[in-house]
Amino acid sequence: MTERVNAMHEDPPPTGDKVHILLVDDLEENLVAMEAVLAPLGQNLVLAQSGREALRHLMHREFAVILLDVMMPEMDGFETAELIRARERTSHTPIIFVTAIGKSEPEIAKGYALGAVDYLFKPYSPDILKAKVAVFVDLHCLRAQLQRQSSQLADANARLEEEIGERRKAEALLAQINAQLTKQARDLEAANQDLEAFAYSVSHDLRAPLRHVEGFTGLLRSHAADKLDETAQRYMSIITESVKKMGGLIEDLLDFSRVGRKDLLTTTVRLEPLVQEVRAALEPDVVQRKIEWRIGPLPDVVGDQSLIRQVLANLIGNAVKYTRPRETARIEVGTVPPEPLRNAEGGGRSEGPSDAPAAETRHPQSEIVVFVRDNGVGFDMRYAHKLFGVFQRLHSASQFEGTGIGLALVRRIVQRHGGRTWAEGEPGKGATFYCTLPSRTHGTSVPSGHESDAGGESHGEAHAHAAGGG
Amino acid sequence: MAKPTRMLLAEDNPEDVELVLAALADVNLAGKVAVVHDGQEALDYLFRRDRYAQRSQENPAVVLLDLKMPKLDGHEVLRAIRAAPTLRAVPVVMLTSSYDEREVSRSYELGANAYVVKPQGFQAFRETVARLGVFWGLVNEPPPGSVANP
Repeated sequence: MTERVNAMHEDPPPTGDKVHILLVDDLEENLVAMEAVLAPLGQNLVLAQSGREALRHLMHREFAVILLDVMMPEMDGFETAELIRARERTSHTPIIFVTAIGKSEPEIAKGYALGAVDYLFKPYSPDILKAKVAVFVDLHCLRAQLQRQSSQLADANARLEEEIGERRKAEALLAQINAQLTKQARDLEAANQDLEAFAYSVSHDLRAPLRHVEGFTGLLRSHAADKLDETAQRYMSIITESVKKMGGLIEDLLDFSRVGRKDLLTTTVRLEPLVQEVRAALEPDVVQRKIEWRIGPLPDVVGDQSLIRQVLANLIGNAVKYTRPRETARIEVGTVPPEPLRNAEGGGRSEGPSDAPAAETRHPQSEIVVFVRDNGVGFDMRYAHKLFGVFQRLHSASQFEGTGIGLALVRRIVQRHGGRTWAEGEPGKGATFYCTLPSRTHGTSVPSGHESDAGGESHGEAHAHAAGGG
Repeated sequence: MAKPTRMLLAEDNPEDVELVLAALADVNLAGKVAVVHDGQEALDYLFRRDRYAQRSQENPAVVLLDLKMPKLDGHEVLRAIRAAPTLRAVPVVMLTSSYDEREVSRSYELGANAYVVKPQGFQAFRETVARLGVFWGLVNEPPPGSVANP
């Protein structure tokens, strides 16, 4: 206790934090004496010479302790104490009675009953007075500190609650956004399926009238052959040819929409024998040609075998087609090793620029990058983005036959396997076509529904073309 | 040879009917074909109802059934044929404009005897239809039980 008093004594609170001590005595010399004793506490001493004056002070500020003289004219200490206790604000302010007389036990008991916390008898020891008051000052400081802390705690709690509330709100918002996104994805998928169904039924329904045009042109020809002059015969041929062309386009569209409608039959697909099979199927078309093949080694992938065969048939078929002007065609089918990939000009590649976006050449272990490279007529990289569109062609039909569905089909199939497609080329030098397919070791699951494209290529584009071209 | 040579063609599209008949004319079978224009009429013919009540009792040697028809489609007609004791053995050939895996499976599950996609080119169409007519109308022996002698 002494220690604490000393501590208070030596280290008074800063001026702004001084506590108030009320000294009440009708005799000024008593007040002066007490003031002298208590001054070293460094607190704010408020003096009052009557109970009335004391009550006035009590209205304005809070006191750590009141030293109240019992014997006073007009209103004595007990009466004053009673009024102090009666007030809500001061009902707990500690009161020390200071008295010379009235040491009888009933008197003392009365004082305690009125809420005195202590008695001090005159003549008092200055040290004891100082020590007692110091205790109350200390108590007051502690209580104030406690109040501050608990209000800080309450503040912190409120802030925490606010933060939790905000976090909950954010979470709710996130959930809402997620739900929206999910719904949008579903809508998009439904729209895609609608579009596919539409493309299918349109191309299906187009076939009947086209068959009739062709059929009746044929009947007309056999019916009126001898009556038609050369010009009329030529017109007939043009009609027949055009109908055939349109029939081809419709067939392609049907093929294309079938890929979207078909359920994937996922198995382990051995790429190398499949490539050999595709190559063998092309053999009859290339008996007159000189082609240097470089195939593999190729790993196994996971996917729909018949669809992957279509991918390879289209890519390899294109390589064969577009190397036709070459005396010796070189066609290479291989895989790009996983990270780290070839740097810009490395890898000993002899044809094609290597300015494909770096992001497209980086790929995770779960997929295999397959490429088909040729030394054919190549293409201008400026048109690379058009290559995979439906009915998009970079060559005229008289140069190279075809409708322009092949690469669109390739992209569609690869996307349905969760992969990406891209190409590099240079006019006159050759082209390389890439696609990614799920690897056997990692990617055992392939999206089985409609596309969930991991590569970030635009479906919308393909669909837009499908709709526009139909 | 007491073979029934009648064929029933169920086809709603008049142009297709004409082309089929032209193709069958190449093999002199055009006169052997009865034509109905929707699924309901096909069943009326087969069950000898309404305006077909008076036709002879023999069943056709083959029914060439277009898949897409008004009122009752090819599959519904096929189901009715296979459910009828007097008709269930009659050969049925499905004719359609384009290949669709699901429709092929469904046709066979319902008891079709063949599934033929109408070729796009007229020459191919002509040959295919003529061949169908020759095979089902002349080469193939129809189920004896389905033929009632007049």
